[in-house]
Amino acid sequence: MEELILTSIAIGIKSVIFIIGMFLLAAYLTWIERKFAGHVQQRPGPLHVGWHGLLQPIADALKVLTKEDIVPSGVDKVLFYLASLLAFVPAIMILAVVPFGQPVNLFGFEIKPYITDLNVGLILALAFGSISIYGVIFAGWASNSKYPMIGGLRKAAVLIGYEVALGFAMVGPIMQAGTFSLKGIVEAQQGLWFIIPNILGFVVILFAILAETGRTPFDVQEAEAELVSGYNTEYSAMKFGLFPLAEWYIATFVLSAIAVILFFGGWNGPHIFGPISPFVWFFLKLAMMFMFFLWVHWTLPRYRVDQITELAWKVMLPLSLLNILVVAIWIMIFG
Amino acid sequence: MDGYFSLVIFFIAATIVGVALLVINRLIAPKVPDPLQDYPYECGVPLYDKTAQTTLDQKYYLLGLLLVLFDLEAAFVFPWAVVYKTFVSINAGLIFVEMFLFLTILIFGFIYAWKKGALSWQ
Repeated sequence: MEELILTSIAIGIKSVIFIIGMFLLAAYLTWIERKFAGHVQQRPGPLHVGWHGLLQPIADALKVLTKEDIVPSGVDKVLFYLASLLAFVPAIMILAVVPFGQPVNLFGFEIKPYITDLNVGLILALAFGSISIYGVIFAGWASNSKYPMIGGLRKAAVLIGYEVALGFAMVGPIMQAGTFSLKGIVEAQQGLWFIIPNILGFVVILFAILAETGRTPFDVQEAEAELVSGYNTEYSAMKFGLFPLAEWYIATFVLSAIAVILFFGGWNGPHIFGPISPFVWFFLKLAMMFMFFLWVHWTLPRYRVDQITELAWKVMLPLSLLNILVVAIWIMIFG
Repeated sequence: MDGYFSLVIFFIAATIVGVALLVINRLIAPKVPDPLQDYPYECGVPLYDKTAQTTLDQKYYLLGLLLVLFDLEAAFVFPWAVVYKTFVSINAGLIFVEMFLFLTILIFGFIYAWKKGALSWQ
């Protein structure tokens, strides 16, 4: 019994460190995104709060925390608050199964740079990704206003289309690694990265991540010109803050991590940075993946919602099935 | 079991952090009541519809049905994918043909749905 309590406390402290770390990282990802967007559009971006706007994320966080918490009349209060939690908690839960490296020995203790390594890790990540759809629908319904309602339903339509393609595109790397454990998938890529036969699956996953995180070619749920701000129009203060934080930063970050693990060998790489080289490689790949999504977001215009759902069913689903066939034949030939 | 235990603890920690943020916001934010601030957003004109929780014409009912079909299909493909590599050295033909017969039958259904126009935004 005493041992159980001690382990719980240890895991609890580790979880809080991961969550706080993710928060700080997400705060500075907003700075990176705004700087990047600024330079894409030939303007400086955040500039005045701190050196080159480096204190801007802290100012924004304080501002969001001290804004008045307005609940409009006619909303379903329980669902209204539950929606922002349901957007945030599943997004950060994916972080629990993402491994950032192999266990390292430090001062005689074995430190694992991940919360848990489950043999169903990838399925759990998919499942939490699907749960976040409830946050969007609840937010749209509970707001009792036209724009959030339409935004929430549109987002649901897009999500269910790309959910299927995302699931099938992940089958290729699973076939090659023979496990759902994300750590096992990385260890199976000691030689060739899985991008080689899985190129079609990778393309599908790129599109699916853009759609799941609502980044620009697929951001029909926001669509500022038509829907004001989509499903979070009626939200204010921290309730509002959790939506973009979860969707644009935490979800994009962890899904980029999963894409890197599935296709680019995770932390595998030449040991040229000494003992920390796995972490350096992982975060370099992750940063490139994340910057790719920013690049797409701030470059392309928006599709219409019918074009997006039809793309999901008519192009992405057949492509992901074709990917399964290609990988099956590849394994039969090359083992 | 150890792995799932960590997952539960992480879930509790994440929920506590989320709730704490909302509660802190509620506690430290100023409250300046204003008669119009709890009015739903409506482009600056008086509200036309009193509620938005009515029936809305959303055009993806059939896509929702197809999602159920293809997610069930994925439930069959995942276990096959895990054992594929170990099984392929024993009996390559069987495991390959088995799954692709299953997938072909489903693809016929998919083509049927496509031809009937279920995949278009109608």
